[in-house]
Formats: sequence, structure tokens, C-alpha cells
Amino acid sequence: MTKHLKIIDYAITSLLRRRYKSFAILAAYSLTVTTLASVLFLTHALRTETDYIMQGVPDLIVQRTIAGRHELIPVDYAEKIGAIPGVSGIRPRYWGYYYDGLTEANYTLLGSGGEPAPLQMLTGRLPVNPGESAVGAGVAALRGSAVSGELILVNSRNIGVLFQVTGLFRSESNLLTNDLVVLTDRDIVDFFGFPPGEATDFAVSIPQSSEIQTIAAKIKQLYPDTRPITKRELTRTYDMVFGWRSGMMLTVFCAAIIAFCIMAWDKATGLSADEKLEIGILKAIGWDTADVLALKFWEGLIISLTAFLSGMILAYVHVFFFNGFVLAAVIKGWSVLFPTFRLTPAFNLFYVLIMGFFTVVPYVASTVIPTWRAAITDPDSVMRG
Amino acid sequence: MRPSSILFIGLSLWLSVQFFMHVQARRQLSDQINAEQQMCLVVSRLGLSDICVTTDARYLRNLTLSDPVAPYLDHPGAIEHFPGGSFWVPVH
Repeated sequence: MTKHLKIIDYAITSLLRRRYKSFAILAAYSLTVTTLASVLFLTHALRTETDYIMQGVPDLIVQRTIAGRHELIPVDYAEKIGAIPGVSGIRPRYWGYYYDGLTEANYTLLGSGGEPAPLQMLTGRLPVNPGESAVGAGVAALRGSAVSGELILVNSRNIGVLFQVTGLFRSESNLLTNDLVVLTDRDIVDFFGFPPGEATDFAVSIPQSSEIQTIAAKIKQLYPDTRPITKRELTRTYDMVFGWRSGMMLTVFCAAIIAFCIMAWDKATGLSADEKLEIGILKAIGWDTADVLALKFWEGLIISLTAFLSGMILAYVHVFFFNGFVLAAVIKGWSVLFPTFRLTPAFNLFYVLIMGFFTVVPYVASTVIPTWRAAITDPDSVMRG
Repeated sequence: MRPSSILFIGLSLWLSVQFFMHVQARRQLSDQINAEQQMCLVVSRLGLSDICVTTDARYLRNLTLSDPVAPYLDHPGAIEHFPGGSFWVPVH
């Protein structure tokens, strides 16, 4: 124990002697870990949040497709679908996309459907009468709308329509409602100029989850031009988007791993003349091979552990305190409306350990292996180079 | 003080910060449960199917309702050109 403490003391002074090089390695290493950990924290937090929120999505969504494209669905279809045993309710959803030329942003216009129920995430109320609307925090900020304010949108006939804002979604629900403009179903039909008796799609309620797949097959048989999307498919999509094989994870992971490999390769391919001289001197003054290896092991471990812990802390601060501003810019793309991430920190110890294993172990190994090659050769020839 | 003692103090400090972050995460998680329940109510009341993160293309805004793989989505010459598309398209 005392021997190892002394070796650690020597390792630290040795690292400090090469302080510029050590600091450069530490900075590059920390940056790599920060990048990896940021992606991991962000996707894991989004996944955790989405998993929970998605519990409320419709059991089955029925779309109509024509020539491979999503088309409006006749409301008449609801009669036969609603009569399938196991279906407890079906309601047409009226929604669409709206490009706002004024702010150059895309909004999602949605019919409120059904009776207005009080929602804690909404200041005010959902629209009940024609000409009323409830808007997301993003839309409200862009258009300067507030409760009791007004919102003017241009309809499909190029006529400006004025809506009274009766509700404002709280910013805590931004992940869901940031770009939403909720109108009454009737206003949506009129605004987009839907043909009479057609809706965007159906939301079907099926209390027995084991029956969803069978009912989806029956709907497809009944109306071959429809595309039923089950709740499982909805949730699975987000699982895949935030999974490790997703585009986001793979892109950043690959870049970071390549950067790390270049660094480790540089270490593994050889020692500098100074390091060789140091090993030679240590051997000449009586250190045996095991001591030299222990020294390099501790040097590697000190660097990698410090970089790993610093990288993790930096990533945590980046994602959960600064709302992942670097990654958010990447995800945002060209979106004008983008929610500010207020993600709940989700800490997955398994991922942290895996990342620790994949970064610390290769680095320590790439430090020790070339040292072992130098340490087993004669000190005189090592010192002569 | 020995260099190794300084190192151990530094690493312990770093580990304490990590532990504090973990504790804070747990605390925030319990605070967040009520908000998430309310969000779940919004989803079921309005019949929402997607989260609103990227809004630059409709197939990114409503990921679950779009075709899983749709090259030439809008016309035969259309290739993916939205930056968000490369990050949001799921791998099957």
C-alpha cells in the first residue's frame, strides 16, 4: 500500500513535469467524454420523459392512405370501426400544419374535440365557441399573444381569420404543446377547407390492450385503404429514435470514438524519447519492471479518471443546467419554433459504467502496453534510444 | 501535503459533485412526476401522438404518423435536406 502511494506520488510529479502535454491530453479526453455523456444524458432524459407522456396517446390511430400518401378520412368510416367488438370509442381528429409567413414558423393546428376539460397545464380554457383558440408557449412568444389576446391566421382561402386566445399552455408542457394552436373542430374544418364529412384521422379507444393488434387487422380488412397505427408502434418509434442505434447517437458516438481512438493510438504506438529515458533511468537505479508498469498504470488511471469525472460533470451541467444548448442546436435544424429543454435529469448508472469502461480501460491499456515493451529491454539500450 | 493526498481529495471532491448531482436528479424526478401526470392528461385529452421538438418538416414533427422509411417523400427528386432529419429518423 505504502509502496503504491509512493508510486502515485511519483506519477503525479511526473505528470506535472510534463504539464503542458498532460493538460492537453486531459482537455481532449474530457471533451470526448463530455460529448459522449451529453448525448447519453440528453437522449436518456428525452426517452424517460417521452415514455411517461406517451402513456396517454390514443390506443389506435387510423389514417387513410391514397397512392402511398396520407389523405383525409371519411367520417362515415367511424360507424363500422366503432361497431367492431372491443372498441369502446372512436373520435375523428381534425388537425393540420400551418406555415406562418409572418414569423416563418410551422404551427400545428388541432381541433379541440369533445367537451372542454380543465387542464392544469393550461392557463385559461380550451376553445368552446367558434373564433376561440388556445396556444402553446412558443406560438404565444412568437406572436406576442396572451390570454384574452388575439391571433390572426390566414386560412386556405387566403383570408385573415381572427381568433380570441382563451387559453395559454404553460411552458412546462413545451415538449408537447410548443407549436400548438388549438381551435374548435368546426374552425379547423373551415380554416383548412376540409371537404364536408372528412377528418384528418381517427383516434380509437380500446380498453383491452391485447386486442389492439387484432382490431387493427380487422380495420385493415374492412377498409384496405386505411393504415392503423397502434399505441405500441407509436411508443416504439421514440424508443428507436432515442436508442443507441438512432442517427443522433450513432453520429456523435462515432465522431467521439474516432477522436478517442486517434488519441489512444498515438499513445499505444510508442513512447516519446523523454519517457523512454525516464524508464531507462528508473530501471538503472533499481526499479523493477513491475514497478515501472505500476507507475505507468497509475499515470494512465489518474489522467483517465480525472478526465472521465470532469467530462461527466461538464456533460451534466451542459444538458441539465444549460438545456443542452450545443446539442439542441443540432436537433433543432431549421426549426423556428423550438422548445427550451427543461429536462428532468435521468441518471442511468448502467450507461455511466459502460462509458467508464469503454473510455478508461482502453486508455490505461494503451499507456501500459508500450511501457511494458520499453521496460523489458535493457536500460542501457532504452536510454540510448 | 503529499501529491497523492491532494489527488485523493480532488477525486473525492469530484465524486461528491457526482453524488450531489445524482441526489438532485432524484429530487427533481419526484417533483416532476406531477407535471408529467398533467402532461399525460393533455395528451389523452387532445389525442396527441407526438412530442414537439423539431418542427421544420412535418415528418419530423409527427414522427410516429409518418412513413418509417420514405425516400422521395414529396416528389421523386426530393432527398432528405432538413438537418434534423439525419438525427431523428429511426433505425429499424
